[in-house]
Amino acid sequence: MAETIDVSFWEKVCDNDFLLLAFHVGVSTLSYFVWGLIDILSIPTLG
Amino acid sequence: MSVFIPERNWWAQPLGKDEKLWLKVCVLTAIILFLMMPLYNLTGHQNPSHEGYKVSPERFNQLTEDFVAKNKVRDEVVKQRFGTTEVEMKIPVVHPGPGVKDIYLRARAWEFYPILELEEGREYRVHMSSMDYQHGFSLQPQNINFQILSGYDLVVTMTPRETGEFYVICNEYCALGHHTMIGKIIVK
Amino acid sequence: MADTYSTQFRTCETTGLKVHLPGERLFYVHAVTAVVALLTGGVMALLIALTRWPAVHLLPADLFYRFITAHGMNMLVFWIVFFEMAGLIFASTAVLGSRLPAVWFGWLNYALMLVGALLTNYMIFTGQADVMFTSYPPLKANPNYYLGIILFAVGALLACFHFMATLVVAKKEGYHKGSYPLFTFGILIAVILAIFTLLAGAATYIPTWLWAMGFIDSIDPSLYRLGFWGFGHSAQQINLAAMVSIWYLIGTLSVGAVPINEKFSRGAFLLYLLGINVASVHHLLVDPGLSASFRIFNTSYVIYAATIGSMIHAFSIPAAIEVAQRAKGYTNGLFEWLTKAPWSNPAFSGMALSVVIFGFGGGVTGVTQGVEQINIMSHNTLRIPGHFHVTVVGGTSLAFMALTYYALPLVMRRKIIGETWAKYQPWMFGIGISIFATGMSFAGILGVPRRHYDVTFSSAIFQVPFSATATTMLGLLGIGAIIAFTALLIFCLIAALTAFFGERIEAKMEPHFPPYLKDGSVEVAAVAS
Repeated sequence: MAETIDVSFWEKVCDNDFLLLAFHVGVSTLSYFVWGLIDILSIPTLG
Repeated sequence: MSVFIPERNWWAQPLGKDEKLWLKVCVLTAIILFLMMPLYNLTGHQNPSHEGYKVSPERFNQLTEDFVAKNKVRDEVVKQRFGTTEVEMKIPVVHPGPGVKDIYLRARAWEFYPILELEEGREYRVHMSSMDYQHGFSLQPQNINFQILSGYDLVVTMTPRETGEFYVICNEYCALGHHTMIGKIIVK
Repeated sequence: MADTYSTQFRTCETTGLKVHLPGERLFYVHAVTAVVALLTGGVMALLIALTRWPAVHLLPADLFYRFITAHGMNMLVFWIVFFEMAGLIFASTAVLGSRLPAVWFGWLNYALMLVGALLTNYMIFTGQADVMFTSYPPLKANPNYYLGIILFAVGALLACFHFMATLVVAKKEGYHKGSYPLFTFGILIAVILAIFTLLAGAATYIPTWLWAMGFIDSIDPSLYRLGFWGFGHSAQQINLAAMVSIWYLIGTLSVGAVPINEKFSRGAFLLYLLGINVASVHHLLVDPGLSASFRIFNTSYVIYAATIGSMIHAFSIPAAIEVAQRAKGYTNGLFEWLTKAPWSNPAFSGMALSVVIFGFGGGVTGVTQGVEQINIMSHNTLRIPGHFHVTVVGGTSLAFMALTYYALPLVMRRKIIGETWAKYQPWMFGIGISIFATGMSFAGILGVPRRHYDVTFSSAIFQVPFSATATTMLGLLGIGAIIAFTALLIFCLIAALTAFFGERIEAKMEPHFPPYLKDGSVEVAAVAS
């Protein structure tokens, strides 16, 4: 039976497992790890 | 059902009025709670330190010993129990002289060094670092807590607001003597 | 061409779901292993609590610290993750009516996890890893301690990929069409969180293992903390997503609840993907040198996006239960739907208690302690474990126990031994943990440190004048622990006796299932072949 209903964009997003995975890993890696790494590595040395 | 497949185009089903109202409450709560974070950071009187430096344990030890040598006023004699024996030890009490703003607290398994004698209402930049494991700075009974790492100097700008004797306990596990690790801060 | 063994199915008489039999066998071993870990961690819990209760002060110092490590690992990691793996298998095979892509792979992953768990436990109990669950460098354990954790994590990560592969197979081979049922969608979210968690764990534990082996000179303590908590707190968010999914599932099984709006609930899960794992920064709020903007943006769960998600679930789940109950005729007054809910069903009562304890106790204490200023007061005090015992134990573990009361008759198809005990067990556990966590939290508010053997400082050079109230709170901690441990023991006994000796029954349950549908029809997830 072919899908003839127009499925909304967000419904398609929710059905795409790997898109959801890429989104979460991407956002979290950038905001937590990359930003955190930059913060820690830019701690100055005591003069 | 949560075990059964939803009908196709479930996204099109509109939110009921109760759901819409609740969502508005949630979003409003989120915005208010979030705005309080930078607001308090900018206007509040007590915030965690954002000032830190990389420093080798050797260098920090040198800075601490210099600070003690220049500002020590007396020794305090304390008794440390090791099993059934009791050993007497001397810990320097340091009173930062006029104009001395940078003061040093060295954490090492299992002691805080030196004992600080501070003045009420005076602002100090307290430098904290560890010679070995991670330690906790926990000022009691005020219940003010920071994390002390080796290789890093945590600088907390503090102004004592009451006089008395206060204790610094370690609240980060640092091997077997962890629960014997305690220091003192006196405020005159 | 798939062989007949790997395509064996049975049809559940209660739900109509098609259950992949090899998957069911894997479900069984993971669940049993989980309960063994729970019992181990539970015994440790009792001994530690009776040591923190100053009047008892049971253990000597070295065993106290050792058993905290054992307790943390066995509860936070092994009990929870083995149980979640069982849930993954269920959500991907039984709920979708699918087969596992590679049964041998499922067993390989279990073997890796089991070997890892045994190795880690051996290292801890032989005193070669007195480093706490956090194992902060420069504290160093025997390299095999870290190796055990790495093996476990690799097994778990591969199992997550196996789950994703099962979803692909389910769609490709026609077992499942359309969007996933909400429960499976929630578990998918949990798996996604898990993949991030385990990648962070690998980035943290592999260098640390190399350092313990002597191949690396030193580990920067600040970088370690960043990496560790990217693993450690994210692991708890997996538990949150799994727990929420289980709440929906139990609502369906117990009263026939339907999600009131799929978009609402799934949108809430999407908010988790956006903001939930970055909040791990709340462990670094009083560390040296981190910027305010990094802390504020991340610890706010991205402007409380993920918190909105949880609040949506907190609304949707009781709402769905109320709608289902009202449809059954419980429309008298405002609350008959609630008073006439199946409170004597331990799965329902466990779920409801878990919602209340987690929602009011856990979420609130977490969000408050995760702001910069309050964290100054709470960091490394007993307030922290006070918070996480409400969430992980009163919330997640209790929800897992509640689900077990359905898994035993429906999946294992055994009549529950000790049904009367089962009726009261969730209440006893919930009340015990609440008393325990109250004592712990208030002791922490009064400044009592966590992971600390002796707050009387009897062998130290000074003594802190902690108030008598703090000592009383520690006593409350002890009493709550005894009650909770007893309930945990009862649960383990019921689960073990039923699983091994319970009378074999057909998977038939009472008529609140099949669930309520507006037009009276029942649509089953499995494709009739």
